[in-house]
Amino acid sequence: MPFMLRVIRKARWFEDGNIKWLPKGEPQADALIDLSTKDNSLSLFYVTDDKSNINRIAAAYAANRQKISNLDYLLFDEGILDSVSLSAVTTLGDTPDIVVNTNWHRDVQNLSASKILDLARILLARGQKDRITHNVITTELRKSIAGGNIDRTQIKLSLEEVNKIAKPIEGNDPVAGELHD
Amino acid sequence: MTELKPIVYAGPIIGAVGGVLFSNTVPNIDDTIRVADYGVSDEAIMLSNYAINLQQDAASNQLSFTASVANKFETTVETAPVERLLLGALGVQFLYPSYVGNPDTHRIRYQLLVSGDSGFETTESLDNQTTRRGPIDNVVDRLRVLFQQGTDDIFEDGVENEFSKQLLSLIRENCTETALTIASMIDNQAANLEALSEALRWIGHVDDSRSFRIRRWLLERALFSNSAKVRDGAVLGISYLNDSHAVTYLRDAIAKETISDLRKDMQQALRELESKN
Repeated sequence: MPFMLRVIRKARWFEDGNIKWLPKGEPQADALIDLSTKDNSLSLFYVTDDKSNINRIAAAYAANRQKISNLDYLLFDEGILDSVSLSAVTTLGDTPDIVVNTNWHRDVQNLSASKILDLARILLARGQKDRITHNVITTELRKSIAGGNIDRTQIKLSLEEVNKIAKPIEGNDPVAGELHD
Repeated sequence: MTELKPIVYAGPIIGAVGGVLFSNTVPNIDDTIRVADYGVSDEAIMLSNYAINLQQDAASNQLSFTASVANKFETTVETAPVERLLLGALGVQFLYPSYVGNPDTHRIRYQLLVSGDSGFETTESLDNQTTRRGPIDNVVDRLRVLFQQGTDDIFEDGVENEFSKQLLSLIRENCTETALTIASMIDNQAANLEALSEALRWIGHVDDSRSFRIRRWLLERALFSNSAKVRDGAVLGISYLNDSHAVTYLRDAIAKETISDLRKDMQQALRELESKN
Protein backbone atom coordinates (compact mmCIF):
# COMPACT_ATOMS: atom_id res chain seq x y z
CA MET A 1 0.00 0.00 0.00
CA PRO A 2 1.30 3.46 -0.80
CA PHE A 3 1.93 6.05 1.88
CA MET A 4 1.25 9.66 2.63
CA LEU A 5 3.91 12.03 3.91
CA ARG A 6 3.50 15.15 5.98
CA VAL A 7 6.44 17.35 6.93
CA ILE A 8 6.53 17.90 10.69
CA ARG A 9 8.83 18.74 13.58
CA LYS A 10 9.44 15.50 15.41
CA ALA A 11 9.72 17.14 18.82
CA ARG A 12 6.08 18.18 18.57
CA TRP A 13 5.18 14.49 18.39
CA PHE A 14 7.29 13.14 21.24
CA GLU A 15 5.36 10.83 23.52
CA ASP A 16 6.72 7.63 25.00
CA GLY A 17 5.12 8.19 28.36
CA ASN A 18 8.19 10.17 29.29
CA ILE A 19 6.53 13.52 28.99
CA LYS A 20 5.01 13.41 32.41
CA TRP A 21 2.05 15.69 31.90
CA LEU A 22 0.98 14.07 28.62
CA PRO A 23 -1.66 11.31 28.83
CA LYS A 24 -0.59 8.15 27.08
CA GLY A 25 -1.74 8.03 23.47
CA GLU A 26 -2.47 11.73 23.34
CA PRO A 27 -0.59 13.98 20.94
CA GLN A 28 0.92 17.18 22.26
CA ALA A 29 -1.18 20.22 21.38
CA ASP A 30 1.83 21.49 19.44
CA ALA A 31 1.43 18.53 17.07
CA LEU A 32 -1.56 20.35 15.63
CA ILE A 33 0.82 23.04 14.38
CA ASP A 34 2.15 20.40 12.03
CA LEU A 35 -1.34 19.71 10.76
CA SER A 36 -2.18 23.31 10.02
CA THR A 37 -4.53 23.79 7.09
CA LYS A 38 -5.09 26.37 4.40
CA ASP A 39 -8.68 26.81 3.28
CA ASN A 40 -9.41 23.77 5.41
CA SER A 41 -7.10 21.63 3.29
CA LEU A 42 -4.09 19.66 4.49
CA SER A 43 -1.15 19.32 2.14
CA LEU A 44 0.45 15.87 1.83
CA PHE A 45 2.79 14.05 -0.51
CA TYR A 46 2.11 10.67 -2.03
CA VAL A 47 4.86 8.10 -1.44
CA THR A 48 5.11 4.94 -3.49
CA ASP A 49 4.96 1.44 -1.98
CA ASP A 50 8.72 1.08 -2.15
CA LYS A 51 9.27 4.61 -0.80
CA SER A 52 11.63 5.29 -3.67
CA ASN A 53 10.35 8.83 -4.23
CA ILE A 54 10.84 10.09 -0.67
CA ASN A 55 14.26 11.58 -1.27
CA ARG A 56 13.11 13.40 -4.39
CA ILE A 57 10.18 14.85 -2.48
CA ALA A 58 12.53 15.83 0.33
CA ALA A 59 14.91 17.58 -2.06
CA ALA A 60 12.05 19.46 -3.69
CA TYR A 61 10.69 20.54 -0.34
CA ALA A 62 14.13 21.58 0.89
CA ALA A 63 14.70 23.73 -2.17
CA ASN A 64 11.79 25.87 -0.99
CA ARG A 65 13.64 26.81 2.20
CA GLN A 66 16.42 29.33 2.76
CA LYS A 67 18.71 27.01 4.73
CA ILE A 68 19.60 23.40 4.09
CA SER A 69 18.19 21.66 7.11
CA ASN A 70 16.92 18.33 8.30
CA LEU A 71 13.51 17.26 7.11
CA ASP A 72 11.28 15.60 9.68
CA TYR A 73 8.27 13.79 8.38
CA LEU A 74 5.38 11.59 9.33
CA LEU A 75 4.70 8.70 6.99
CA PHE A 76 1.48 6.74 7.13
CA ASP A 77 -0.49 4.22 5.12
CA GLU A 78 -2.82 5.86 2.67
CA GLY A 79 -5.59 3.69 4.13
CA ILE A 80 -5.43 5.58 7.41
CA LEU A 81 -7.27 8.42 5.73
CA ASP A 82 -10.15 6.06 4.92
CA SER A 83 -10.29 4.93 8.52
CA VAL A 84 -11.17 8.47 9.60
CA SER A 85 -13.48 9.01 6.62
CA LEU A 86 -11.07 11.26 4.76
CA SER A 87 -9.68 11.13 1.27
CA ALA A 88 -6.91 12.86 -0.62
CA VAL A 89 -7.17 14.45 -4.03
CA THR A 90 -4.36 15.26 -6.42
CA THR A 91 -3.57 18.97 -6.50
CA LEU A 92 -0.68 21.01 -7.80
CA GLY A 93 2.22 21.42 -5.38
CA ASP A 94 4.48 24.45 -5.20
CA THR A 95 7.97 23.00 -5.10
CA PRO A 96 10.60 23.62 -7.79
CA ASP A 97 10.16 20.00 -9.01
CA ILE A 98 7.37 19.66 -11.54
CA VAL A 99 7.07 15.89 -11.10
CA VAL A 100 6.66 16.25 -7.36
CA ASN A 101 4.10 19.00 -7.92
CA THR A 102 1.96 17.25 -10.52
CA ASN A 103 2.26 13.57 -9.60
CA TRP A 104 2.78 13.37 -5.88
CA HIS A 105 1.11 16.28 -4.22
CA ARG A 106 -2.21 15.69 -2.49
CA ASP A 107 -4.72 17.68 -0.47
CA VAL A 108 -7.12 16.41 2.11
CA GLN A 109 -9.95 18.89 1.76
CA ASN A 110 -12.96 20.06 3.72
CA LEU A 111 -11.42 19.34 7.08
CA SER A 112 -13.15 20.19 10.32
CA ALA A 113 -11.24 20.85 13.53
CA SER A 114 -12.40 17.57 15.02
CA LYS A 115 -11.22 15.68 11.94
CA ILE A 116 -7.77 17.19 12.36
CA LEU A 117 -7.72 16.02 15.95
CA ASP A 118 -8.86 12.53 14.91
CA LEU A 119 -6.10 12.49 12.35
CA ALA A 120 -3.49 13.65 14.87
CA ARG A 121 -4.44 10.85 17.26
CA ILE A 122 -4.34 8.14 14.65
CA LEU A 123 -1.10 9.43 13.15
CA LEU A 124 0.53 9.42 16.55
CA ALA A 125 -0.52 5.81 17.02
CA ARG A 126 0.13 4.47 13.54
CA GLY A 127 2.36 6.90 11.71
CA GLN A 128 6.09 6.52 11.32
CA LYS A 129 8.14 9.55 12.33
CA ASP A 130 11.49 9.93 10.73
CA ARG A 131 14.23 12.45 10.01
CA ILE A 132 16.33 13.01 6.92
CA THR A 133 19.49 14.76 8.03
CA HIS A 134 20.75 17.91 6.41
CA ASN A 135 23.73 16.00 5.02
CA VAL A 136 21.43 13.64 3.16
CA ILE A 137 19.27 16.56 2.07
CA THR A 138 22.37 18.28 0.68
CA THR A 139 23.24 15.18 -1.33
CA GLU A 140 19.70 14.78 -2.60
CA LEU A 141 19.49 18.44 -3.56
CA ARG A 142 22.71 18.09 -5.48
CA LYS A 143 21.39 15.02 -7.30
CA SER A 144 18.03 16.58 -8.06
CA ILE A 145 19.65 19.70 -9.45
CA ALA A 146 22.20 17.77 -11.46
CA GLY A 147 19.48 15.49 -12.79
CA GLY A 148 17.34 18.40 -13.89
CA ASN A 149 14.51 17.50 -11.52
CA ILE A 150 14.58 20.87 -9.84
CA ASP A 151 14.02 24.08 -11.72
CA ARG A 152 17.06 26.12 -10.71
CA THR A 153 15.23 29.40 -11.15
CA GLN A 154 12.69 28.37 -8.53
CA ILE A 155 15.18 27.51 -5.79
CA LYS A 156 14.69 29.62 -2.67
CA LEU A 157 17.92 28.63 -0.93
CA SER A 158 20.24 31.47 0.00
CA LEU A 159 23.35 31.98 -2.07
CA GLU A 160 25.43 30.73 0.85
CA GLU A 161 23.50 27.47 0.82
CA VAL A 162 23.69 27.15 -2.93
CA ASN A 163 27.44 27.45 -2.59
CA LYS A 164 27.44 24.58 -0.11
CA ILE A 165 25.69 22.37 -2.63
CA ALA A 166 28.07 23.39 -5.35
CA LYS A 167 31.32 23.31 -3.39
CA PRO A 168 32.20 19.61 -3.31
CA ILE A 169 31.69 19.17 -7.00
CA GLU A 170 33.10 22.39 -8.32
CA GLY A 171 35.37 21.87 -11.26
CA ASN A 172 33.95 18.57 -12.35
CA ASP A 173 30.25 19.07 -12.42
CA PRO A 174 28.21 21.47 -14.47
CA VAL A 175 25.79 22.05 -11.61
CA ALA A 176 28.31 24.08 -9.67
CA GLY A 177 28.86 26.67 -12.35
CA GLU A 178 25.23 26.98 -13.23
CA LEU A 179 24.15 27.41 -9.63
CA HIS A 180 26.41 30.39 -9.33
CA ASP A 181 24.84 32.09 -12.34
CA MET B 1 52.62 29.14 45.67
CA THR B 2 52.51 28.71 49.40
CA GLU B 3 49.96 29.13 52.12
CA LEU B 4 46.99 28.84 49.90
CA LYS B 5 44.00 30.20 51.66
CA PRO B 6 40.71 28.65 50.51
CA ILE B 7 38.05 31.22 49.85
CA VAL B 8 34.94 29.34 48.81
CA TYR B 9 33.51 26.21 47.36
CA ALA B 10 32.42 23.00 45.67
CA GLY B 11 29.24 23.57 43.84
CA PRO B 12 28.03 26.85 42.55
CA ILE B 13 29.83 29.83 43.83
CA ILE B 14 27.43 32.09 45.57
CA GLY B 15 27.77 35.80 45.75
CA ALA B 16 28.94 38.66 43.68
CA VAL B 17 32.41 38.28 42.36
CA GLY B 18 33.47 41.61 43.68
CA GLY B 19 32.50 40.55 47.12
CA VAL B 20 34.44 37.36 46.83
CA LEU B 21 37.54 38.94 45.54
CA PHE B 22 37.55 41.93 47.77
CA SER B 23 36.32 40.53 50.99
CA ASN B 24 36.96 36.84 50.68
CA THR B 25 33.47 36.22 51.96
CA VAL B 26 30.19 35.09 50.53
CA PRO B 27 28.03 38.19 50.53
CA ASN B 28 24.77 37.06 48.96
CA ILE B 29 22.85 34.01 47.96
CA ASP B 30 21.52 35.63 44.87
CA ASP B 31 23.90 35.15 42.06
CA THR B 32 25.89 32.34 40.69
CA ILE B 33 29.35 33.06 39.49
CA ARG B 34 30.44 31.06 36.60
CA VAL B 35 34.02 30.57 35.78
CA ALA B 36 35.34 29.83 32.38
CA ASP B 37 38.77 29.07 31.26
CA TYR B 38 38.32 30.07 27.71
CA GLY B 39 40.52 30.06 24.69
CA VAL B 40 43.39 27.93 25.88
CA SER B 41 42.41 24.78 24.14
CA ASP B 42 39.36 23.13 22.71
CA GLU B 43 38.60 21.61 26.06
CA ALA B 44 38.92 24.78 27.98
CA ILE B 45 35.44 26.10 28.05
CA MET B 46 33.29 25.65 31.02
CA LEU B 47 30.68 27.72 32.61
CA SER B 48 28.39 25.86 34.87
CA ASN B 49 27.74 22.56 36.51
CA TYR B 50 31.15 22.97 37.89
CA ALA B 51 32.95 22.44 41.08
CA ILE B 52 35.48 25.06 41.75
CA ASN B 53 38.22 25.95 44.09
CA LEU B 54 39.43 29.47 44.30
CA GLN B 55 42.41 30.05 46.44
CA GLN B 56 44.40 33.04 47.38
CA ASP B 57 48.01 33.12 48.35
CA ALA B 58 47.99 35.45 51.31
CA ALA B 59 51.65 36.31 50.99
CA SER B 60 51.76 37.17 47.32
CA ASN B 61 48.14 38.05 46.81
CA GLN B 62 47.97 35.54 43.99
CA LEU B 63 44.76 33.83 43.03
CA SER B 64 44.41 30.42 41.58
CA PHE B 65 41.34 28.70 40.27
CA THR B 66 40.84 25.02 40.01
CA ALA B 67 37.63 24.04 38.34
CA SER B 68 36.03 20.96 36.97
CA VAL B 69 32.94 20.47 34.92
CA ALA B 70 30.80 17.38 35.16
CA ASN B 71 33.92 15.46 36.14
CA LYS B 72 35.06 15.64 32.57
CA PHE B 73 38.18 17.61 33.03
CA GLU B 74 40.00 19.90 35.32
CA THR B 75 41.92 22.97 34.68
CA THR B 76 43.86 25.35 36.77
CA VAL B 77 44.39 28.93 35.94
CA GLU B 78 46.79 30.93 37.95
CA THR B 79 46.62 34.61 37.85
CA ALA B 80 48.80 37.41 38.93
CA PRO B 81 47.91 39.67 41.83
CA VAL B 82 44.31 40.33 42.58
CA GLU B 83 44.58 43.92 41.55
CA ARG B 84 45.69 42.91 38.12
CA LEU B 85 42.93 40.40 37.89
CA LEU B 86 40.49 43.14 38.67
CA LEU B 87 41.89 45.27 35.94
CA GLY B 88 41.51 42.46 33.48
CA ALA B 89 45.21 42.15 32.96
CA LEU B 90 47.13 39.05 32.00
CA GLY B 91 44.46 37.85 29.69
CA VAL B 92 41.99 37.53 32.50
CA GLN B 93 38.65 38.74 31.38
CA PHE B 94 35.69 38.80 33.60
CA LEU B 95 32.26 39.86 34.57
CA TYR B 96 29.89 39.08 31.82
CA PRO B 97 26.39 39.55 33.07
CA SER B 98 23.73 37.25 31.82
CA TYR B 99 20.04 36.84 32.17
CA VAL B 100 19.02 35.54 35.54
CA GLY B 101 15.46 34.58 34.94
CA ASN B 102 13.33 37.35 36.25
CA PRO B 103 13.07 40.03 33.60
CA ASP B 104 11.35 42.40 35.96
CA THR B 105 14.13 42.76 38.44
CA HIS B 106 16.93 42.97 35.91
CA ARG B 107 19.22 41.24 38.30
CA ILE B 108 22.49 40.38 36.71
CA ARG B 109 24.40 37.18 36.99
CA TYR B 110 28.09 37.48 36.51
CA GLN B 111 30.45 35.19 34.84
CA LEU B 112 34.08 35.35 35.72
CA LEU B 113 35.78 34.56 32.50
CA VAL B 114 39.35 33.52 32.83
CA SER B 115 41.19 33.47 29.59
CA GLY B 116 44.58 32.05 28.83
CA ASP B 117 44.89 34.29 25.85
CA SER B 118 43.45 37.56 24.76
CA GLY B 119 40.36 36.04 23.21
CA PHE B 120 37.95 38.49 24.78
CA GLU B 121 37.81 41.98 23.58
CA THR B 122 36.94 43.80 26.73
CA THR B 123 36.78 43.80 30.45
CA GLU B 124 34.63 45.59 32.92
CA SER B 125 35.31 47.26 36.17
CA LEU B 126 34.04 45.62 39.28
CA ASP B 127 32.75 49.02 40.33
CA ASN B 128 29.98 48.58 37.84
CA GLN B 129 28.82 45.26 38.94
CA THR B 130 25.14 45.52 39.67
CA THR B 131 24.13 48.85 38.26
CA ARG B 132 25.82 49.01 34.93
CA ARG B 133 23.52 49.40 31.95
CA GLY B 134 25.67 49.22 28.87
CA PRO B 135 26.04 47.33 25.63
CA ILE B 136 26.32 43.97 27.31
CA ASP B 137 23.11 44.53 29.19
CA ASN B 138 21.58 45.34 25.89
CA VAL B 139 22.38 41.86 24.69
CA VAL B 140 20.45 40.48 27.63
CA ASP B 141 17.56 42.81 27.02
CA ARG B 142 17.55 42.23 23.30
CA LEU B 143 17.49 38.49 23.80
CA ARG B 144 14.71 38.78 26.33
CA VAL B 145 12.58 40.78 23.90
CA LEU B 146 13.51 38.51 21.02
CA PHE B 147 12.43 35.39 22.86
CA GLN B 148 9.24 37.01 24.04
CA GLN B 149 8.38 37.86 20.45
CA GLY B 150 9.43 34.36 19.38
CA THR B 151 6.72 32.90 21.58
CA ASP B 152 4.18 33.89 18.95
CA ASP B 153 6.15 32.55 15.99
CA ILE B 154 5.52 29.26 14.26
CA PHE B 155 8.88 27.90 13.27
CA GLU B 156 9.73 25.69 10.34
CA ASP B 157 13.09 24.06 9.80
CA GLY B 158 15.31 25.95 7.40
CA VAL B 159 12.96 28.87 6.98
CA GLU B 160 14.35 32.23 7.99
CA ASN B 161 12.24 34.60 10.00
CA GLU B 162 12.67 37.77 12.01
CA PHE B 163 13.62 35.72 15.06
CA SER B 164 16.46 33.92 13.29
CA LYS B 165 17.72 37.09 11.62
CA GLN B 166 17.93 39.00 14.88
CA LEU B 167 19.47 36.07 16.69
CA LEU B 168 22.20 35.66 14.08
CA SER B 169 22.85 39.36 14.24
CA LEU B 170 23.34 39.15 18.00
CA ILE B 171 25.66 36.18 17.69
CA ARG B 172 27.81 37.99 15.19
CA GLU B 173 27.92 41.12 17.33
CA ASN B 174 28.35 39.56 20.78
CA CYS B 175 28.77 35.86 20.46
CA THR B 176 29.97 35.15 23.98
CA GLU B 177 27.37 37.20 25.77
CA THR B 178 24.64 35.86 23.56
CA ALA B 179 25.66 32.25 24.14
CA LEU B 180 26.01 32.71 27.88
CA THR B 181 22.64 34.37 28.13
CA ILE B 182 20.91 31.66 26.12
CA ALA B 183 22.61 29.04 28.30
CA SER B 184 21.19 30.78 31.32
CA MET B 185 17.75 30.94 29.73
CA ILE B 186 17.89 27.21 29.08
CA ASP B 187 18.94 26.50 32.65
CA ASN B 188 16.09 28.55 34.02
CA GLN B 189 13.65 27.64 31.25
CA ALA B 190 13.22 31.38 31.11
CA ALA B 191 11.95 31.45 27.55
CA ASN B 192 9.56 29.61 25.31
CA LEU B 193 11.01 26.14 24.74
CA GLU B 194 10.13 26.04 21.06
CA ALA B 195 11.93 29.36 20.61
CA LEU B 196 14.97 28.06 22.49
CA SER B 197 14.97 24.97 20.30
CA GLU B 198 14.76 27.15 17.21
CA ALA B 199 17.62 29.28 18.48
CA LEU B 200 19.86 26.24 18.90
CA ARG B 201 19.18 25.17 15.33
CA TRP B 202 20.30 28.56 14.02
CA ILE B 203 23.26 28.66 16.37
CA GLY B 204 24.46 25.53 14.61
CA HIS B 205 23.83 27.08 11.22
CA VAL B 206 25.86 30.23 11.75
CA ASP B 207 28.88 30.45 9.53
CA ASP B 208 31.17 32.36 11.87
CA SER B 209 34.51 30.91 12.91
CA ARG B 210 35.05 33.48 15.66
CA SER B 211 32.07 32.24 17.63
CA PHE B 212 32.52 28.58 16.77
CA ARG B 213 33.76 27.31 20.13
CA ILE B 214 31.29 29.14 22.29
CA ARG B 215 28.45 28.03 20.02
CA ARG B 216 29.68 24.46 20.17
CA TRP B 217 29.91 24.68 23.93
CA LEU B 218 26.34 25.93 24.15
CA LEU B 219 25.01 23.19 21.88
CA GLU B 220 26.88 20.41 23.67
CA ARG B 221 25.62 21.67 26.98
CA ALA B 222 22.04 21.93 25.75
CA LEU B 223 22.05 18.21 24.98
CA PHE B 224 21.49 17.73 28.69
CA SER B 225 18.67 20.22 29.14
CA ASN B 226 15.57 19.15 31.05
CA SER B 227 13.49 20.01 28.02
CA ALA B 228 13.17 17.45 25.22
CA LYS B 229 12.49 20.25 22.74
CA VAL B 230 15.70 21.98 23.73
CA ARG B 231 17.64 18.71 23.46
CA ASP B 232 16.18 18.20 20.00
CA GLY B 233 17.30 21.67 18.95
CA ALA B 234 20.75 20.92 20.34
CA VAL B 235 21.04 17.70 18.34
CA LEU B 236 20.16 19.54 15.16
CA GLY B 237 22.47 22.44 15.93
CA ILE B 238 25.30 19.99 16.52
CA SER B 239 24.58 18.20 13.28
CA TYR B 240 24.73 21.51 11.40
CA LEU B 241 27.96 22.40 13.17
CA ASN B 242 29.35 19.10 11.94
CA ASP B 243 32.24 18.93 14.39
CA SER B 244 33.36 15.60 15.81
CA HIS B 245 34.17 17.25 19.14
CA ALA B 246 30.52 16.63 20.03
CA VAL B 247 30.84 12.85 19.73
CA THR B 248 31.57 12.31 23.42
CA TYR B 249 28.73 14.55 24.46
CA LEU B 250 26.31 12.85 22.10
CA ARG B 251 27.26 9.45 23.49
CA ASP B 252 26.60 10.67 27.01
CA ALA B 253 23.32 12.22 25.95
CA ILE B 254 22.22 9.01 24.22
CA ALA B 255 22.91 7.02 27.36
CA LYS B 256 20.69 9.37 29.34
CA GLU B 257 17.92 9.96 26.82
CA THR B 258 14.53 8.56 27.81
CA ILE B 259 12.53 9.52 24.72
CA SER B 260 13.08 6.85 22.11
CA ASP B 261 12.49 9.10 19.08
CA LEU B 262 14.97 11.63 20.37
CA ARG B 263 17.50 8.96 21.23
CA LYS B 264 17.21 7.69 17.67
CA ASP B 265 17.87 11.18 16.31
CA MET B 266 20.89 11.51 18.57
CA GLN B 267 22.21 8.17 17.33
CA GLN B 268 21.70 9.31 13.75
CA ALA B 269 23.64 12.52 14.42
CA LEU B 270 26.37 10.52 16.14
CA ARG B 271 26.72 8.14 13.21
CA GLU B 272 27.15 11.05 10.83
CA LEU B 273 29.79 12.70 12.98
CA GLU B 274 31.66 9.43 13.45
CA SER B 275 31.56 8.73 9.74
CA LYS B 276 33.32 12.04 9.17
CA ASN B 277 36.45 10.51 10.57
